[in-house]
Amino acid sequence: MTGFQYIGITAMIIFLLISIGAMVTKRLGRIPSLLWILVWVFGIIALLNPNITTTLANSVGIHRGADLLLYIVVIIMTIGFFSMYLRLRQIRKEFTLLVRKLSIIEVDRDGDCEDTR
Amino acid sequence: MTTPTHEDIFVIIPAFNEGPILGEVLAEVATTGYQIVVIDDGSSDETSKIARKHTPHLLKHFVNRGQGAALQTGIDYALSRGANIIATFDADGQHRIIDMVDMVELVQARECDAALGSRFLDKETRDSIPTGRRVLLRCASTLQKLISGTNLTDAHNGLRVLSRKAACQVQLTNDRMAHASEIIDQLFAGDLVIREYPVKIEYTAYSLGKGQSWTGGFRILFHYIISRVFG
Repeated sequence: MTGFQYIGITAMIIFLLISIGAMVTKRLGRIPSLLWILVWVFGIIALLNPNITTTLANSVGIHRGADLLLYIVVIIMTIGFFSMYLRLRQIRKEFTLLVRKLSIIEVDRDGDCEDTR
Repeated sequence: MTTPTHEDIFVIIPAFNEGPILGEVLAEVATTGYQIVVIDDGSSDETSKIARKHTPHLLKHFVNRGQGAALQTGIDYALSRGANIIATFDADGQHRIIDMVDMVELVQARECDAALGSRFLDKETRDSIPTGRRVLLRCASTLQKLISGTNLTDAHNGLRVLSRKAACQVQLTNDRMAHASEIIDQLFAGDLVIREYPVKIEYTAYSLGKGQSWTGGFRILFHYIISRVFG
């Protein structure tokens, strides 16, 4: 094994343990946890046997294993960015509700402070 | 001559850095005797100070949330204050008071639940719209028709008059400019009589500067589609 494989596998094992820990302690949902575990396990296998990515790529009509990995990363990142956008949108909506409530409370308070003698 | 007051008619005016023109616009709206609600949407200029001189109904968003968010704040506030008729009016001085009063009378006479201003019903007004703006607005109306099936000539006109029943149907979630399409969808989803009313728009360098560009138009479309799909 090369030095890169040692470092890569060690990192993947650490991430794998973190993901398992997140699932056990329910810090992360079951499905996202399992997806992450799958990613790390596949990473370890690919590092141990680099030819496996090429075999997989060839089976779906792609020439090089690195290309297959690139396409997968692009797809995962696109989905990830979009889900983050939706989450941010939800937070913005909640923030707007807060700003709205405050503005209405403030106008009521201004009214209460008026001297009506 | 004193202006008669109309306790139950509220004009909602969202304002974001409209200091240069707001005083003039509010003074004109005040001649109607309607209740004026200004929502200062996080302005950094004198918008609040100017609005305070003209109305006790000043609501302040402590950060900018967009025109849609400000409109919904105004609608919620007006409904809580017993509004029976609610008009939405742009702060940049592009609408005419006479058009708003006519539309209020339509709703008051129960001829419709919602009167929506359109600058495309009158040929003279239509021809006065700058070409780029006219094409953009036509595209917006056509896309709105394709997406939601609503048949309006002017999907993005800020002058609207709603009965209390119609205003209760409105629950805007698009904080930014896509609210203009959302409000139409929500009105058409209810059991309401909706009419378009020919209005004139007074285009000035100021109001054109505040208007939408083509890139803004694409952003609105993106937000509108996302809100239709994901709520």
